[in-house]
Amino acid sequence: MGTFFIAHAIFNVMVPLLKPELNEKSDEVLMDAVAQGDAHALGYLYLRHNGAVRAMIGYVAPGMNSHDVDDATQEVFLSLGKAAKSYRHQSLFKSFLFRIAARRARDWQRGTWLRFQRLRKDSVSDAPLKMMQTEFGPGKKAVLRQTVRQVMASLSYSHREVLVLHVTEGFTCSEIAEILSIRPKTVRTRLHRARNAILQHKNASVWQDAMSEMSS
Amino acid sequence: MNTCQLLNEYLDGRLSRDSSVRFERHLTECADCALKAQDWQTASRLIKQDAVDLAARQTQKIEQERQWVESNFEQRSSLPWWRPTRVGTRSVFAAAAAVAALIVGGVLIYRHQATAAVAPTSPSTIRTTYFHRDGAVRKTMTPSTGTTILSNNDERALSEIESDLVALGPGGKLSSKEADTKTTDLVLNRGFAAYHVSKREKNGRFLTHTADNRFTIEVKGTRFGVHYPAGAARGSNDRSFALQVAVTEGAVWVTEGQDRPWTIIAGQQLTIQNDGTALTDAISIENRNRINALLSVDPSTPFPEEDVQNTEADHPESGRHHVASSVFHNKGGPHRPQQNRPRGEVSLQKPVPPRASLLQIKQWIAGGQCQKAIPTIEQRLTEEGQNSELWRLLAECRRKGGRYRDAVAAYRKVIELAPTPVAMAARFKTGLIYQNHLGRPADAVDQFSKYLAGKGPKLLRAEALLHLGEAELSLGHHLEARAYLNEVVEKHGATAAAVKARKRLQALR
Repeated sequence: MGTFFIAHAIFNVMVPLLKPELNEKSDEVLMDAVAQGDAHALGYLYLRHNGAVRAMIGYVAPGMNSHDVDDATQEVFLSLGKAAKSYRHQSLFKSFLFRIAARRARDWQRGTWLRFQRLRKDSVSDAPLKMMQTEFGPGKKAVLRQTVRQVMASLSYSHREVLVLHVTEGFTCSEIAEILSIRPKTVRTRLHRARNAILQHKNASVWQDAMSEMSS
Repeated sequence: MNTCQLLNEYLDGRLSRDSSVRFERHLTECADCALKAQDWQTASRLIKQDAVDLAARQTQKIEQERQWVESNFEQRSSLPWWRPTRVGTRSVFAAAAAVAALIVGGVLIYRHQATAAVAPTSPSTIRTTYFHRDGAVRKTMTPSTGTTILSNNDERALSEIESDLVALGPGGKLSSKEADTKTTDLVLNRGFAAYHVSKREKNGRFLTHTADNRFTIEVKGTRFGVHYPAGAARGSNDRSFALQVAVTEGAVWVTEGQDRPWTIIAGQQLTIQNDGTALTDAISIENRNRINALLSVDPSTPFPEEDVQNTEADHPESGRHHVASSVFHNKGGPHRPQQNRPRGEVSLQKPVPPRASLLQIKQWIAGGQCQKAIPTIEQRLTEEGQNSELWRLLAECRRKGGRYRDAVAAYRKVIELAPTPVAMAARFKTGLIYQNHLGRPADAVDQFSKYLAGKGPKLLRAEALLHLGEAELSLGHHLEARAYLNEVVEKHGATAAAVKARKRLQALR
């Protein structure tokens, strides 16, 4: 049995090291390998991009608990593997990946929205904050983080989606338009409205506090 | 154009180089734009930093997830295109229903543990599906090592071990022991397990031990004998009985026509007399020997001598047995014991239900005589199948009698046939049954939602919202649950439902 576990450890831990060449390949090349059925290439893509996908899903769908976010992240990569054959380098790999992630998050949100549709909006917006409160520890930074999430959660889903892609991943408006399959003008409008909503938020002074906190 | 209006384009990064330089000069002159730009930069940095925190994971967890993604990618790649890549909720529940038919209750969670203490029985053939409480598939795993199965309070799991199904409920733990290829040997460490065991190979066994090795649970097959005497097909009265079924292992159901079946379990035999009455008794030695002899792998095993005599029609008394203790009734049917039978012998006969008016039926129900009302209602429904009031009364009787599935079926007919207020009330009761008795909160949510969307009696709206909130809680949908409970408190503050909702909300905080 000991030999069995050693072998398992070797396989699962050492294989990435045994295939260092994969680590040096670009995302697009790895996608070609995935299209050929190479699961390790998909694993490398997962290692590289799981954080960004997780952050994106966690932000646009703040009602998800961490388990749901984990599941959704893994499902995104499985969908990526499934769609690898249709990836013809017509767009950047990250755009392709985030298109899948955005669709997954939207599917979840739509399922939740259908249950919420008969309820008042303001009875919903506080709920994500209360859920998030348990994630934060003590300290000023925790309070700041909490406030950031609260502000983000107060935006509408479509505004939040555009904002996250622009701010955290640095996508341009045209790239976001491609990811979300909407017009670039729509992206700009949503981005501006999201920005205005954030800047005009009742907790706008938090940005000043944050500035002094970050510089201290 | 006012320069301030270019702020968004500037922050988007869409201004040309010259325009950006001009705008930056503007920022030195316009305090308002400068403040907004600074706030936005700070907000962006905070959001990016927070995104990094959101993305942060333990290395070990990421590694486990990577392995899961790779193994599932390989699995799904090997399926033909027409095979669904996720276990459908319905198909799994169909299997789970079969499991539940054997054992009531919970489900096991099977989670792959890389550091499991025992080796798998057949690791390559164990496939586990995790479910959320609402039945949605969470993930599917084919663990390559370890067979320790753990459950938490939010998940269920169904494991397919070869052709068997093993399910573990919340809070449970199960592991497998080393065993040969024909034997499945499990250890139930804690919790509730359900099993659906297929036919074993010759000399194969399916065992579950308790963690302290005190108990062993083994699955046996089904062995039974059926005796349909000569002359029965032509209705001859010379035969001793119409049918006899004896069971040595497992359970068997016998149905006569469209009636509900009799259940005979191991160690019992059912004898249906020529006049239609049924007797149940402990299995006779003759029948036991007969079954074992016929099923013996040794063809030289002789049949018991009594077999030859019992097949003859000139031994009318040979088929009659005295009831030792328990009597099995045809499930739910309108049977009652006959009077003036010899001591120790009970017979069952189907009475013809009297035709009664609706008023009479309602009086019976009000008086707690549902068993009297049901046959009459069923009889009338054969002629008046579109009478929603009869269906409603039948549903009430079933509900009071604890036959909840039948009650739901009858309420569905009411919803289909009755005018809106009555249909809405039926929907409300159906929701209550789903939630409180059948453990199906998703269906309860559906019913209460439709009730609230329809024109149901306003008196029950607060109750419906309360139950809807509780059903959503059962599904783990805390956001929705809080919203519904808040609505009860805010809109129906003076009701008992609001009091309960407040308590629930306090418990959730």
